[in-house]
Amino acid sequence: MTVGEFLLCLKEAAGGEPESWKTKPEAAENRTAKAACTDWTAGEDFGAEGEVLLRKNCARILHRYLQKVMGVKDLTTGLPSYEEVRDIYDCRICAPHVSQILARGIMETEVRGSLQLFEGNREVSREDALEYIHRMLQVQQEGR
Amino acid sequence: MDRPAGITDNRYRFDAFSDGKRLPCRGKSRLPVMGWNSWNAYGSGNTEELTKAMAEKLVELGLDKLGYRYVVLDDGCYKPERVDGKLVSEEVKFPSGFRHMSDFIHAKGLLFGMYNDIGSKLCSGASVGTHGYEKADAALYKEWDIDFIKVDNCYYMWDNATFSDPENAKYVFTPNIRSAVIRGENLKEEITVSSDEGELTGTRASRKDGYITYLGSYDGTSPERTPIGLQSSEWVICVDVPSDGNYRIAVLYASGKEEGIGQWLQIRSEEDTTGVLTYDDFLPETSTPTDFVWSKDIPIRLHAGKNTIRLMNHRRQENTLTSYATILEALREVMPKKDIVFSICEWGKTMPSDWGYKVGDSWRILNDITFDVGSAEGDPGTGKWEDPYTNSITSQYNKCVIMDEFAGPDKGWNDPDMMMIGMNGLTDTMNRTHMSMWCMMNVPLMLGLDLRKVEKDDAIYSIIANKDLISIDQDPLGIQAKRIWTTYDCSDPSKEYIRDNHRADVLAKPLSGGRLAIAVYNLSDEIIEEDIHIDLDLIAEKLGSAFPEELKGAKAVRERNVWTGEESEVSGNLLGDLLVLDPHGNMTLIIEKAG
Repeated sequence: MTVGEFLLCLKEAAGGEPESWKTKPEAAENRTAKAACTDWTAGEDFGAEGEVLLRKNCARILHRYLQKVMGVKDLTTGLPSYEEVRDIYDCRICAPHVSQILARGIMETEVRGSLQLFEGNREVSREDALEYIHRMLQVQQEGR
Repeated sequence: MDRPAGITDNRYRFDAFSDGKRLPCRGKSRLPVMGWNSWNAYGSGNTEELTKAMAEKLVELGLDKLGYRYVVLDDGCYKPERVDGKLVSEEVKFPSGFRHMSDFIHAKGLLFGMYNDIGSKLCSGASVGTHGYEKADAALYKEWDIDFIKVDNCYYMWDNATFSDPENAKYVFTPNIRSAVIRGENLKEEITVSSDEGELTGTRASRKDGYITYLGSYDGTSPERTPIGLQSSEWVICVDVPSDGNYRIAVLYASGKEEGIGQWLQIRSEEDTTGVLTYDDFLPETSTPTDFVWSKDIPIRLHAGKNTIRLMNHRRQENTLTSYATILEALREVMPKKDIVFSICEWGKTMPSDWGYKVGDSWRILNDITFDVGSAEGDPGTGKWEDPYTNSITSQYNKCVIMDEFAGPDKGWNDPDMMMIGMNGLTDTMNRTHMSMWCMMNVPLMLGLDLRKVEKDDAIYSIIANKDLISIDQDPLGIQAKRIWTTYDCSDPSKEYIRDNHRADVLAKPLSGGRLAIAVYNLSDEIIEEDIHIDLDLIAEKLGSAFPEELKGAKAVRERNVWTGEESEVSGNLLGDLLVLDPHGNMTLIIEKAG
């Protein structure tokens, strides 16, 4: 799955297509992820739309969506530490996003021997991506 | 295939790291820079409007007059893809472009700094890293009239550390090696050296199940390991041959792509007098890290008698130095006379304290001091006093405080990252100690807060604008303080890497004019009430030749407390009879001969 496809999945799962696509068919012809999400992706560095979606970028997108679109406040306790998730700071720009997404149970760590790792450089499958979106939407529904 | 640059010049080699010679591209000597950087304040959400507001506020508060003159745009300011191969400003955040930003900042009497990366991408993920575009980017930086560049290390192609492909361990370690063999027409029989023979230098390599593993250098991004002493490893073997001439060497090896086991081997004979080594390349990949095969015969030049042959991989450090030098050389080519600050941001990964002075004004010593940076929406971000990883004041201090041997005007400066003063999570006491620590350690002072929240003479202002402390940091002698005493039980406070914060430290820093700065830090979260005896004799013993002549034999000194401004004349114990320090507190004094 690419970054662009993920952004579109997120848009569709969360709120349907933008109103402009329904009223202006020509707009729909140029439907790109960024066109669908100009409101909250502006100025964000999620990577090029054609780029493969990695777990670290998936966490960044989900967390910014939680903050900016769903208005969910960040958790201040229960965040994973370096001792718990050894690679949590490997991607320093992603670290706060990964922390929030792990703490909310939207994404999960993997066990490698005695270590728990986030594995931010691994690709996200379509199935996993949809599951993460589903879990994120539950955060609001359940008022977490 | 894109691969590390070939190195033929000894000046970029590990063996030259200790020669004290800078590369020709290195800029002039300077004291640690001071200024404002966008990262801790706004992360990648910084904008043109915010940057202008910070520049205006630096001037309004008079911080520019105190030395805070560099305004640096960190990550997040570029469009995420190049346009026709060129860097372009992010159009939403910087609609007027970088030259406009530069002109605005210069018009305020300030200096303009930018950011890039030696890898293929920036840390934010934007695909605009400098690798392969050094000359094109240098031309743009000239156009944008930069005075400073911070160069990061994310997505570096030839390392398996933070952000890169984990498989890139193949570049930074040798394969496992079971033995080496020397052959030659002049030898009656080949010479075999098994892994239990020869010497292992450094601290990384070990012998295991009949082979040598972990030949290479370590990743210093995280705080576990000391920066002091030789950390990387070599297998050094000795062979005796009957005559000068050409011989052949082969190794029995097994390659891997994981921490400690790689595929790149360097072989250096004593006859390798230029930067060209006997061997400096990949060996063919083997099926597993324990599936040993013989390499092909490699020509090697030896002399009659005993020869030392080194098997090693210093490419982790050499590649990084070469990549940083490539950018700086490109900048010098287009701006030969421009005074540009070159700030190396590779997080201590390859022990840049060994080689950073050759190209840079300063070098980061660890990963970031905080990962919870502020935002353009008003969140100031959060800093911590302590943390097991790098993201706290004490994490950075604990490493930097023993690195004084690497700093100086003829070298450059250790960089424990931008300051966090003004962030959530830190008390005024912590902020004062943070400022004192950074000034005593003679490091760059980069503010990282939203200056619009600062008013003249408020608590934050009184800390960042403390003239005595700034004068300590900017003292022309440029000597980083040495830790001369600690309550922690250790044999050498100046060199032992101590990460247990249940302690107090005493630092001493020679200043110009025959003066000294002394600081006591309570790193613990408990109040200290202790009789700590620090006199001039002890300081003289610990500082050696750096101890000021003017204070030798002084019976009494005048002390100035940099926080209260109180002055007093003292003899004997410089800290008084009973030292009381709040949790995370400090006492910082400037001392000169009385009378």
